[in-house]
Amino acid sequence: MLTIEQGADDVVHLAGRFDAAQSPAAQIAFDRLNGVVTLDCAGLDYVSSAGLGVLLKTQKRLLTAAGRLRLSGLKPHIRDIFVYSGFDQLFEIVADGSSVRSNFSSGRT
Amino acid sequence: MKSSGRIERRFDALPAAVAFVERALDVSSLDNERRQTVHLAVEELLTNMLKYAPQGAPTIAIEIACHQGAVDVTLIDSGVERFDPTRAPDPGIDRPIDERRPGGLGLHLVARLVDSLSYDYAAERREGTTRFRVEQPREC
Repeated sequence: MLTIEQGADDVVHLAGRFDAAQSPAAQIAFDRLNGVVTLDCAGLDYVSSAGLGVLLKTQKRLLTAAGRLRLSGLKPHIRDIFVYSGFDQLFEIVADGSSVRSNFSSGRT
Repeated sequence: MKSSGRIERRFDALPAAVAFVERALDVSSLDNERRQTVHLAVEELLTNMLKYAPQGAPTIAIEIACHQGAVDVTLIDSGVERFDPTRAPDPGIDRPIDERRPGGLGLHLVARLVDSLSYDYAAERREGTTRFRVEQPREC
């Protein structure tokens, strides 16, 4: 079960299991996002490569229109998965509303 | 404590696989993070079998054995060509975003997260056996 809820101020709350079974419906929801969107992942317990694929596809699309996904509230084991995937270089990772050091650089050509 | 089951060779059978793994891990000593690792490895290995050997047997055998301090999982797929998950192509995790493709990450994550991973192929039975172990180190 994965919930994707629009919050206030361009924040989208993601919670539950982002697995292969949830990914097709998730892609449809993510295709509606625009601009700079902060994904609050405090409730995200699980992500597999299928979920990572949705995030990657979305990030590629948003970056072409001066937007991007920012990821906040990642649980430690979820953050590890992002690091092992090299996704910490592709996404801005945020804690408590302010940027923590990640390898993401939106100014990269 | 061992749990054995069969997973149907269909993408819509993945939730049933999750439920099976969940029940099997009930009696394990693994913490939540390591349980998620078992789930992740099962999902990634199963989806690879479904994607790259769709013509295999209608079900895939799964066995989960919970020991003191570790869980061993075995997946046996029949009627398939050799597909060794320990030899997955490099997903290019350091490449810039334009060069990143969604594929290849699953097996890379499995290799990074589990404590051991092995594959054997019996050509005469056209049967591939994948085994992995997730350990829970004891606190000092």
